[in-house]
Order: sequence, then structure tokens, then C-alpha cells
Amino acid sequence: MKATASLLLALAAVGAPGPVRAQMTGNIESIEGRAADALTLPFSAAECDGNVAVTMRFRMVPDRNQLDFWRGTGTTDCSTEAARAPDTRTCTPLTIGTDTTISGATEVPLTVTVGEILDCTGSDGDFRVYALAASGAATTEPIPDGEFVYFDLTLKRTGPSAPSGLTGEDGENVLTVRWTSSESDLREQRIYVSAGGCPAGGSDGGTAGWTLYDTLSGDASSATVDPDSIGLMVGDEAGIGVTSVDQAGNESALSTVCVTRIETTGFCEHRGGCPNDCSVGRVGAGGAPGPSAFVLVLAAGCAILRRRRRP
Amino acid sequence: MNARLTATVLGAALMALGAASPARAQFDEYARPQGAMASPEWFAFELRVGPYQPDGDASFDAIFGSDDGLLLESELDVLLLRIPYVGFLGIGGTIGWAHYSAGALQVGTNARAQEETTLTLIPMSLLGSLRIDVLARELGIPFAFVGKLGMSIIPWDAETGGHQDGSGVTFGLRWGAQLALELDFFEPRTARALDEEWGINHSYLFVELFGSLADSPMPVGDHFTWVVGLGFTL
Repeated sequence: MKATASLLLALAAVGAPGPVRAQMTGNIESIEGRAADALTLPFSAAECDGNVAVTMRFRMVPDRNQLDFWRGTGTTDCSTEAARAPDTRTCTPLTIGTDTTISGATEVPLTVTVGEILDCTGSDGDFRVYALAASGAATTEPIPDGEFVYFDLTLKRTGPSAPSGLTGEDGENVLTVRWTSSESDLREQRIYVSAGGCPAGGSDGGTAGWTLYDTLSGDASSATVDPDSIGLMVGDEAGIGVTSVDQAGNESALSTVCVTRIETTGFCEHRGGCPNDCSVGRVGAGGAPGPSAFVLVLAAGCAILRRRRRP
Repeated sequence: MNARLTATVLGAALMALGAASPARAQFDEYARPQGAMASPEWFAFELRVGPYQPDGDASFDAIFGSDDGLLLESELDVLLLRIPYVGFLGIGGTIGWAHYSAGALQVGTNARAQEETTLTLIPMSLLGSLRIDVLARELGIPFAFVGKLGMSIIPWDAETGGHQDGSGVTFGLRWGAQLALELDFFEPRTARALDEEWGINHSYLFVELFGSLADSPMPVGDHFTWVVGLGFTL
């Protein structure tokens, strides 16, 4: 009986609720120059070089002296003492120039630069940046669960490969270029023109001296240039260049091709002209009439069938 | 004659009738009049495809060569009047699409440039039709003949390198003569189910000779060509 009572007391002691420890949380609120839905994209060379600002916010911060920042590669766990101990450390202590003193606050906003949390002169890769609630900087003290947060960040300074297989098509009304993207998952592709003639030897890979003409989706493989829009006369030659831009915003080297505005004869010109009565003849607004009207008739036919269905 | 003999003869006769019944039943179901069990027949709807090449324009041949487009077309007719032992008189319309493209000619060399020149047609028509289906309805021969006559209306659009060179509408006469094979003959039960479920009275495959004399102000009519397709009366 006595033993049973002791056991019950022990169980009660174990099961009794203790003080609830709040879980520290944090998030990246904004990155300078980025939309709110682009915060998880890799940091580019331009962002590193421009040292853009990254604003974070920490909540439910424990009562410690300061936030202590560490960075590990991949998914390295910097919350362990071994990862921070001088002899065994696998993480790198970060020096945050902004004041990281907590001063008893439970919610801490903090703005840092990319260069403070990532090594912009180092290799591309995935990194995990830890913010520890600690008594001092570069702490090697144990950090309990719930008193740290981390962010997974990616550095991608290397740009995508330049588009390959670029070919140009001469024309009178339109100049066309086609290419093969060297990478998938591109953010966009940029079309440049050099209307003052085709640069001898093409381009050194840079876009200096070229004018941005258009920006296309990442999966585009052809583009057209209106020769009138760049002031090209019949017989003139122009350069057209294409670059790829990855999700981080890194732009590839420029691939170029030369095209010439030539004089051509289309169907109407060959027959000495066509009547032009757009107000009567057009089925759709703008462009050639497509098969959409045909599809509409099919849809109407199906609707009639359904209405006539017997109960 | 005793009763046993009578029963034997009667039984043999019934078996002989039974053995012949599948083919006869098929014919009967096909040839049955469209009475109370059939839904009303008000429309004919057709989908068809065939070559189409504007006639009477040397420039078309010079630029597009033997490109015969491939005309995709649909037709919807209203069956206005049933003429006993003949068929239906109806009116209706068609709408289609055909597109031609080729490299423009380079001035000076006449070589083909990569810049495309195109001609797009939307052939439409308003037609009166006489659908002669007496063979199928009265004799169980699954063929119908349709004659059509009306106006051809063809909106067209010509472009080179994405720039519009011209567009408009050309009008003219249109005619058509169709031979249709009714499919009900092959699957009478399915045909009846289609009628009960969807209101489709008859389905048919057809070949149609037709022509469009839409030549002014832009010659985009094909004076004599053909289409094949699938049709339904509803």
C-alpha cells in the first residue's frame, strides 16, 4: 500500500505541468529589392556585391543579453556546443554590425546586410544561419531547445550558361532569333539589340553597348524584333543578343547573332496588292483569324445536344 | 395427324424462325419507322475535313504552291420540312478554317526568305439543303443524298512577317452534293440508345463534293473540291 502510494506520488510529480518555455521564432521579413514572394530565392552576385539589406524579426526571445549569429554549411546544426567549440567547430561565428542586444525585449527586429550573414567571396552553396539567444558574442555555452532559430539561405553567384545555338532570320517586317537555353528553371531571358550595325566579332559576353529590347519568359526559345522599332533600313545589318537570367537574378554572358533587313515579297505584294477592309473582314480583334470560332461552333453543337437529351 | 406430330412440326418451324431471327431483327430495327419511340428530328450537324485551295489567283500558286490548306469545317442545318417519301428540306450554315503559309520571296533573288507570308480563310456559308433519305427510311438501304445551294462568305486575312497586308470578305455562290452512309444499320441498338440518351436520330459518314465561287473582290473560292466527315441528325 505504501509502495503504491509512493508510485502514485512519483507519477503525479512527473505529470505535473511545469513552467511553459516559449519557443523562440524568427522570420525574414524583407530583402531589399525583392518582392514579398521572392524571399526564399538564392542570393545573387548582384545582391552580394550590392550588399542588400535583409530584415529579420525574432519573437518570443528568451531573457538573454544578445542574439549571437553563427553560420554552417548545408544543414549543419550550430546549436550544439561541439559545432561552436574552438577545437571542434564546424560553424563560423558571424559579426553583425547592427546592434543585436536584446535588452529584455521579447520581439526583436533586425536589419543586416547579405555580406554579414553570407560569405560573398566564398563558394556558392546552401547555408544555415543560426540566431542564438546567448549571454555574449561567439558563445560556446550550451543553448537549450527553443532558444535559437535558423534560416536556410542559398548563395548563387555563378550565372547561368549563355544561350547556345543562336540563329538569326533575315526579314523585312520582322527579324527572328532562335536559340536553345542551356539551363532549365530560368527566371527570364533578355533580348538586346545593337542597331548601329553588327559588332565585329559579336560580343565579349557583356551587354555594354547593347540596348535591352525585350524580356521574355524563362522557357522562351525564340524572339522577334521589329526592324522599324530600332530604325533599321532595308539593307542594314543589326546585332541581336540573348542572355539567360536565373532565379537568383544572375545574368549569363551575351550570345549574339547578326541579322539583315532584307526586302521581301509576300502574297499580297506578289499579286500587286490585296483589298484591305478590316472592318468587314475580321472575325477576331487583331491578328489572323484562328480556329477559335470553329471551336465555338463545336461547343454550341454540344450544348444543343445536351438540351435535347430526353428525361 | 396426331398431337405429337403436330407439336414436332410446330417446334421445328419455330426453331427455323429463331435461327433466322438475328439478321431479320437487325433489319427490322433499322427499318422501323421513326414513330413514338424516336425523338423529333430537327437538326443536322456535321464535322468535316478536306483539301481547299483558292482558284483563279496565280500569285497563290507562286507563293503557296500546292498547299491545299486542309479545311476544317462544321455545318449546322435546321430541318424545316419533312417531305413524305423524299426527305427533309432545310436551311443552315457552315463555318470553317484554312491556313496557308510559306516563306516570302526575297526581292532580287526570288529565294525563299525565312520571313513567313500567310493567308488565313474562314469559309462560311448560308445554305438551303434537300436531304433525300427515303432509301434509308423506307427500304432499309443505308444511304442518303444531300444537295446544297447557297451563299459563300469568306473572311480572309493576309500577313507577311506578322504585319497585315490585307483583309476582307469575299462573297459568291456555293454548292454541294453529298453521299452519306448511315451508321445506324451496323449497330441498331446503339443508334437507339443514342437517340434516347442524346437525341441523336441518325449518325452518318459522308463524302461531299462542293465548290465556292467566292472570287470577288479577292479570289479565295475553291471551285471544286471535296470533304469527308461525320454527321448527325438530331
